[in-house]
Amino acid sequence: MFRYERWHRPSRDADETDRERLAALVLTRQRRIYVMLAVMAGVFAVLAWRLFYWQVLERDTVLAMRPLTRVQPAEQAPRGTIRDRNGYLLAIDTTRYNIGVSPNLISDPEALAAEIAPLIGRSEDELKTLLTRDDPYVRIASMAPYTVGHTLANMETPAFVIEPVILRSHPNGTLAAHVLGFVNLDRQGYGLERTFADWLEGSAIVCEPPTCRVVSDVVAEEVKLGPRVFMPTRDGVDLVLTIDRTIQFMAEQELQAAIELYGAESGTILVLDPKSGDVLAMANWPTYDPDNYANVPSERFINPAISEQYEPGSTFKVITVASALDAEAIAPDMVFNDTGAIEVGGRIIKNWDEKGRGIVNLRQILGYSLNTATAWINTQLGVERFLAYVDAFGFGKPTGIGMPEEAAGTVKRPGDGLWHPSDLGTNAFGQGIAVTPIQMVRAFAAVINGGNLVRPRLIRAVVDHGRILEFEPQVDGHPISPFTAHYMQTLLADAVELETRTALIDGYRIGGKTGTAQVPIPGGYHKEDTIASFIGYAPVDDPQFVILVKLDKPKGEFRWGSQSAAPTFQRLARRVLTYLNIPPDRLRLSRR
Amino acid sequence: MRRALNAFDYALFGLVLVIMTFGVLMIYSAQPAPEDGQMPFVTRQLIWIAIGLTGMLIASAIDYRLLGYFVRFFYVAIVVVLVVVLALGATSFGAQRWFSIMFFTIQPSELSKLVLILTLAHYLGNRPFDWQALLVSFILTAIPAGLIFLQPSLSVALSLFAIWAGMVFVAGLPWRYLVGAGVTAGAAIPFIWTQVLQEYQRRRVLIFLDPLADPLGEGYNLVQSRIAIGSGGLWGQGYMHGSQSQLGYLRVRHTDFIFTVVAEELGFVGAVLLIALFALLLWRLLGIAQRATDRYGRFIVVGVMFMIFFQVVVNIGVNVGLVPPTGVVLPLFSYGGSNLITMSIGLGLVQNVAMRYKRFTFE
Repeated sequence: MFRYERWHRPSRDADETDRERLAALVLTRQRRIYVMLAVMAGVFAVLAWRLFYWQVLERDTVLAMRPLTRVQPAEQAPRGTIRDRNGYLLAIDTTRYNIGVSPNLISDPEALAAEIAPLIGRSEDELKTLLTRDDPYVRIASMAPYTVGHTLANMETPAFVIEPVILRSHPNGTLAAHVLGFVNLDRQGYGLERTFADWLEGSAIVCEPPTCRVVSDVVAEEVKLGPRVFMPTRDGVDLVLTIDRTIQFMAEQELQAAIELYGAESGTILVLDPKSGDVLAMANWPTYDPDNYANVPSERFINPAISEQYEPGSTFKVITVASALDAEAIAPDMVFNDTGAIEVGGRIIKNWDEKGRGIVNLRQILGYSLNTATAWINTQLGVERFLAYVDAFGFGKPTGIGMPEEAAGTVKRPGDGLWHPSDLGTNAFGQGIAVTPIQMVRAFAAVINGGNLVRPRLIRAVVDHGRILEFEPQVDGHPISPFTAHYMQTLLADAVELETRTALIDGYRIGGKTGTAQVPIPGGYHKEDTIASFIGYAPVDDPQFVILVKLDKPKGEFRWGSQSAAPTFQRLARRVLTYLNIPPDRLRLSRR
Repeated sequence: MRRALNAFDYALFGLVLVIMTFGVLMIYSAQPAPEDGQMPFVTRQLIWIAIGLTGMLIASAIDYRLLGYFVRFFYVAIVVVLVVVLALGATSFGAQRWFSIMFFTIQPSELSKLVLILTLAHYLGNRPFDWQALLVSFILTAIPAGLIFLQPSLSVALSLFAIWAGMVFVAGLPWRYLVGAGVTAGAAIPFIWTQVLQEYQRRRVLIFLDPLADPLGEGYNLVQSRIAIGSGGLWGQGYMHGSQSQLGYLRVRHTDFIFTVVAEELGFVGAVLLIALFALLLWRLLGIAQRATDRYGRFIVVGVMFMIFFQVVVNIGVNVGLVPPTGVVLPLFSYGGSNLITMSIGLGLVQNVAMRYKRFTFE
């Protein structure tokens, strides 16, 4: 048999016996087998070493190649709510649903159409056509309310594709729209929603390698990246405003009524707590619906109460008189001989009716709203001191209410090229100076609250994850002394009672000042158009609120502040007094 | 026959059953969801195993020396079938490597391994080993291998050459020829690279050398299997709990990459245990080869041994990133009918030899 092996093992030795050759062959075969055994053992050892290398020695390196964790963008953290000073909701995130179907998963389109047609609010036939369309996905309802979405989600039909959509909604509709504002998808917007966007929004997902790497959806889908990582989000902060939704509602209602009644183009009502600077109401007309802002011209989003500059007119006389009294440029018992005209800086200043009233005191000056007398008072005060008071009252710069769109107002000064010596006289009764409603109401508040220039504010507190952070009222200065302020408090009440009877409220003593400013046009002032305003407060001995009513271009006789703005003040103030549970003066003062 | 049954190698049979059972358990863990209306992969694998074991028993029952008479017929038949498959593939849709027999599909290229083992064993076992034997055996191998390479299935063609090389080595090929063959092969690499390999094969090799170059495309499975193996660690993530395997990162995880599933879920320990099982099986085959009394039988055993060894090494090598990706499955372990049946029949032939060697020693 071994002859088969002869090529492999040629006989080296002629004497070699068959037996020896056979033995040698067996040995060769054995060796070959052992060689194979060694080769196999070696190969397996290499494989095992490779495993050991990856699984034990270099395990961390290998695992580091697994950065492909997919981040599931967590459901958007709810935006913080906005509430009024008493906690009533003004703006909150709500969930709506976009509802679609996959028609090929529907077994009985007819029955399904009949079942959900009333829910979705489409006709059965229309729905049936949609449900039988040859598309992988058909949208059947957009922005469906929460209940509809949940009813459909609980139906055991696999065909529905229900996507939640977070929507900002406003339970009170257009209430305080200019204050609240909105943000669009690009985070552009207006009002507090924009100003405090960083606080209201939940914090962004922080995604950093190696714990997390954002991969594009396409890639993620391709390689089925998982396990998904849900990053917790931080809920937004809730804002508690100083706005009182009831007073806000009253203000808006009265404003709208006044605009209709007096044929005005637009208007603003501000209600301020003179002690704390809390803005209790900030109403503007025209307004808009923050739930549905898409088709509104963008200039309407701007809040006129803080952004619109206007010439305050006679309401500014309050500031002039208070400044002169405080500087002791005039005495409280001063008298002035009103001839109907006075010359200041080369310009003749006349009263509104161009009549003179003879010897008048301070009460009459304010009560009859005499331009000549206030101009004379300002000449007693002098330019430098007057402008120092104007600055001290906060005109010409933003009030710091905390909205970037706030306007600064314009105050002309000697040396700025626009100023003229006659401006001392006209500024005295609010001409040639531009202010914003919020500046005006704040300065007025300082006149009657003891001389503290409080900073108007819209945010009372924030609620950050259960922690309430309340803000303290801030005082930005003391333009006049408490003594002057106390005198002004009664002086303004006396003055109102003299002629502006339309502002008076039965049972309550109020103080205030009308204003009728002509609308400046290039080269002078418009003949007819005015800005009618009234600033008042109540009760006189302990002011609880200051109201500024400003009506733009009321028609006919209503263009006088005393005919339109003052009665509007009267109606609103009466309601606010009732709402705030302030007893009539007799009752209240007798109780003391 | 009774005596033959007495000599039945229970250790061999037991090892085969252990490996198959292990495989079924891992397929159960790794199986992807079956297509609609299909049986789960594990059920199908059990059917394959039943068929394979039947084939194994039949292969061990018929005396292998009897089979020797039909070797020429088998060889001619398989070559004809391969030519037919190639012709069909050329005329119909692309690479038609599958050949339907009833409701199963069988790859004739797999069966060609068995036929080649029998043919070479018969040829080498009945004549002295010399230049002529070397040349003829090479040609006998090259004909089916060439046909299979054209299908194209490089891995099966290579496994045929591996079988030939192993058998020639055991037949007594002098070492100097081995060295010469190695040098020649090395020198032929550039030629093979440019002329023989097809574009997709070249790309596979390149990606193998640097899988991270295209981790989401061609290198995807290499990277994923590396991560899977690494995440297994020493003790594994637990049966049915391999994150990479269970979450479907790995493609063909129940076939080509089942070893990775073992490595991930059972860790280094489980993977080495599986390697050890194959080592035991091969060791057992070596023992049988050593004891075989006739050269024909011994060559059969050696052929089967090299067939299994080649597949085990290449498959695990692919899994651990030492060998470029090929379509080689883990014998007896991976899901798949053709290879399982081929291996079973091959081991039946080994059993056949083992059962009958004693007759000569005692009679």
